[in-house]
Amino acid sequence: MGFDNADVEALLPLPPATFHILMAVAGEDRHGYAIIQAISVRTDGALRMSAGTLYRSIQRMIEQDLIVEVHERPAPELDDERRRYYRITKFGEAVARAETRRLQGLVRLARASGFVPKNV
Amino acid sequence: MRGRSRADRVFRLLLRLFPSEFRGDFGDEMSADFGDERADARTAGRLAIVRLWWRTIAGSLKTAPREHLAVLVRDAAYGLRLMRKYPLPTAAAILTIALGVGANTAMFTVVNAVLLQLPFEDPARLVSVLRQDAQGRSAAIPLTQLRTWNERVDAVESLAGYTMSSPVWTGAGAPDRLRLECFSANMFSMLGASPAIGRTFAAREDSPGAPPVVVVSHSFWSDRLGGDPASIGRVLTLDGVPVTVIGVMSKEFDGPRALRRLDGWIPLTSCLESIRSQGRTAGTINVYGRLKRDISPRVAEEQMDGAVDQATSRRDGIRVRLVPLTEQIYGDVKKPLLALLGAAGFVLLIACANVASLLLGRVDARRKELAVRAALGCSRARVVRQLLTESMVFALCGGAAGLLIANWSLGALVSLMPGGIRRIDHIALDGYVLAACLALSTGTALLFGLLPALYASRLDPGAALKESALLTTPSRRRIRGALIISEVALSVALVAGAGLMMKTFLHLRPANPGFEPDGKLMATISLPRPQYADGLSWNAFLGNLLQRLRHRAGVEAIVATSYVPLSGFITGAEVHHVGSDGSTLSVWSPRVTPDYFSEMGIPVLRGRTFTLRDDAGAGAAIVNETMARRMWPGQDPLGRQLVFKSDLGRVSTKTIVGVSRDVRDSGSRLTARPEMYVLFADDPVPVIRIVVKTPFSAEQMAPVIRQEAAAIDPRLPVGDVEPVAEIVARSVATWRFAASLLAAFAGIAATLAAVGLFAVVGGSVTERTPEIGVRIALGAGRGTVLRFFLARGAILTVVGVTCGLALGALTTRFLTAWLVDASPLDRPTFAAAAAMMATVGLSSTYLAARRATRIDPLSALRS
Amino acid sequence: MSASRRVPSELLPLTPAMFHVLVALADGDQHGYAIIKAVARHTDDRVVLSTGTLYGIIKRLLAEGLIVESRRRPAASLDDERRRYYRLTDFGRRVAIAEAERLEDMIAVVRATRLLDEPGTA
Repeated sequence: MGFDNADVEALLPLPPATFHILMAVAGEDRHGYAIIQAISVRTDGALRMSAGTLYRSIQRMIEQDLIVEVHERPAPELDDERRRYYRITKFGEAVARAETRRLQGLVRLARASGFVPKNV
Repeated sequence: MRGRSRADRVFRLLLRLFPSEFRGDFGDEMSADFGDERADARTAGRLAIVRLWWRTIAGSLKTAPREHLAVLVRDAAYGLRLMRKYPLPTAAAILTIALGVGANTAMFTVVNAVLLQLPFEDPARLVSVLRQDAQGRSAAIPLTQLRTWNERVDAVESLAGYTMSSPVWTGAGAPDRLRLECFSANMFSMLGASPAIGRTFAAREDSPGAPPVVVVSHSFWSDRLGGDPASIGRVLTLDGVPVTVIGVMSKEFDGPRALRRLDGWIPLTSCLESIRSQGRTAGTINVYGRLKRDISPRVAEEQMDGAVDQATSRRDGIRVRLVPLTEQIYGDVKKPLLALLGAAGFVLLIACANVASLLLGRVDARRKELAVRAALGCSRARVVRQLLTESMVFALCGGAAGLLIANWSLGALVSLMPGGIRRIDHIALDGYVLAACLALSTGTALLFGLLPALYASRLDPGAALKESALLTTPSRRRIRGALIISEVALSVALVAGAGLMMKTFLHLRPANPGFEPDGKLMATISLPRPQYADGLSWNAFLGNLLQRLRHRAGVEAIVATSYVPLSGFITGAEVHHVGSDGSTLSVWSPRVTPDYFSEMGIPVLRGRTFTLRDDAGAGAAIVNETMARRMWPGQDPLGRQLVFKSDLGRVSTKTIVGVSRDVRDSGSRLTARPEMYVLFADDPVPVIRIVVKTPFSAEQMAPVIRQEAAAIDPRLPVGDVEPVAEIVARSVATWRFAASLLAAFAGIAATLAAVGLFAVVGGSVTERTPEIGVRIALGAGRGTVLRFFLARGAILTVVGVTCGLALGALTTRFLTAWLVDASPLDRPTFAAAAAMMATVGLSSTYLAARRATRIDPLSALRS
Repeated sequence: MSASRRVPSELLPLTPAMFHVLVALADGDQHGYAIIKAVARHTDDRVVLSTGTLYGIIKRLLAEGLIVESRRRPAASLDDERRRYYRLTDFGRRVAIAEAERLEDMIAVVRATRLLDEPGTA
């Protein structure tokens, strides 16, 4: 896959905020507020991120090469110049998959031990 | 598997990384687990054992600090709760610490700025190069010698030449004399200084015929060039020559001599050229150098002695001497400043003793709580730790307050400081100061917290629980007693030091400086070349100016001199007996106008003063007492003749016509140097100081002087006009500074000691209230009770004062450099200090003890 | 027990190590070393706790009421009296379930992004 497995593993476990942001920019490029909205929708409103948390996380994630800022802009009539758009990197995808595998492992383990979530 | 294996012992050591509580809770389990883990790993092979150890050690290193932090947070929170519960003692303790830490932080700020923060790279390797004979007289170093050394001496990395220049800047308002330093091109890089804007000289700019350039100081740039970044490339007219600005140095840089108010730097070569072109001898330069790493100055000295040119004076016994630059710059202020820092340290120690005593008192109040803890299995170490954390909370609060105090007092401190102290402009709180303050607070907490904590950890839980609070343990009383004794002792030493400085200050202040400074103003005029090239033009100007000023309103009298006592800068000369070929004497040689002595109020003790008939070539001279003694011990100097070689190179014969009384010179000593007064008319110099006797203020008089000077020559710069009395005041500023500071420290110290004694005696009165009640009820007189407590306070005070006298005797010698006409062991001062602290101690004891006599036996017994 | 009134979600997210310890105790009471072994077994030796880390976690779990010290001891012949056994409390079980739910939710989010479709298929 082109990534050193150790680099990927070093970032695990991901902080929940990082994980959700990664997921939010996985399908399409989003700007900050859109990320907050997407996370809120996907978690049924359980996770409502503050702008402060969001941008602190984004800053760190760019440094870690998990996401990049994209310079292609949407159609001009939809665009707001002040906004910046973010996109997941290949490395970010690899990390996200690894984290997901880790989560799945945990959940499998939890089920096997009888910690069965009510809603499943 | 029973018995302790080596691995088990190592594991036990690892466990010691954890807080004792954690160890107590889980230690046994952990070693049992570890034993099993090891057994399993052994079956799995060597690698598994290595992995196990790795994992265990790494895990401990990661987890242990977290557990410690958790304990710390809990203890600190408990400390804060306690502080809220006892607001008054808490406030007292914090204030006490704040005073101690504040005094030290303020002093450290000064020391940090003045002594520690040198704007040079690796300053330890920088030296000033001197050539001196056995008597310490310096010989000149020609520029050519500098080159030879640079080529042939490999113990030094580089050597750079230095001199000063003060050209007149015209073309920007009133003409102004600048203070410039002349540097070899490599001086900047040798010092490790780089410009804030632009660049410094290139080597080719420091060579003959190069287009003139100047690097300006940060203050010149911001004050005189408007802080304009476009100043680079601007042309200034200096002594009529256009000079290009090529750089601005950083704010911190102030040259190898750390002078104040420097305007800039020009290349040494052009500097020497212009001096030569003005017909002055451009002989001597100062030389600064940077030693190679790990080379001792002795080695370099030898090499340089071996490479002395033919052209350089090789008189007998002249040797190269390398003086560390730091010592040359700070040698004279270092000791006294450190002494003041030490004094501040005493204040902190007293504060610590006071707070320790206070905390000891509280340990008693908390003995039940502590006993319960001990009974619940709290180890001694745990109790010590908790109490130390509480102390730390106190200390950090006190430290923060101390930082505020330091910040507030810094302004006052700086305004008190003598102007001569270098880098005074750089005094400010910075990272180093904050770090020092934090370290001080932490150290303080250990200092005052350790005693009470150790004491508390030794309390016998059984006895404490039995509520036998009627009697305090004798050991605690002994500790508190010792604390008070040390407080009193430290205070005595401080008061004695303050007394010594005060005495010196009072001695110097009204001290007749040897002349009448009151009601006189001084202005300095330096005549620029080439317009004023020779003595004739200097004297013509002087005569003209005196003539004009004499007729102005408010001028009661006016004299001129090349040097006003205590004002620095002086013209010198070398003299020797007529006919002798041998040794010369270097003297200070002020040029004066004939009525100088009468107008300045300097008595002529023998012979006569100058008269108008002495003018022009008569060669009359007046020497001071010191010179008369030096040249003609036990003989009459009147009528003697001397060959006089002025520092402008003129040689003439002088006849001594009078002996004047010594005037204090600009140094810190009362001892005068040999001085020989000659007339401007005989030996003109281009530096003229006008002294005007007038009822007017400097502000009123300055325009008059400037106006008359401008009437003669509109391009002539006139320096500041200031009262002579102010110059005299400035000369004692050092003592005023030290005396005020020590007095403040002594005041704080005495107050803290008094409060400490009051608390201790008051505390024992409170503790013994029931017992006193019983005694009074049984018929003991109130006088007896009072005497009982007074005796305790008196013993502590007397022992403290005695120890303090000994301590003072050991410490006041650090002030020696600042003491004038007083021994560091001056008896009256010590006696006064002892008496003062005895009075302070006894009064506060009495105040505290008086409460004992007011005890009502009935209510005392009931409680 | 007052812990029953507390809301499990306050303690989330758990660190992976904490979660593993809870999982290890789900099968029954264990002493320290048994927990270390169980966690290692569950994770194919990817998570091997050191004793220091383990007891740091145990201390926190005890303080939060997720586990308690068990009074039940094994047969005397097997017993080492230095050891203590730990048991998951009801509250601990509920916290573990809540954590598992949280993890499930996160995985559901991943599914929505189709990120798990291996690259190239999208």
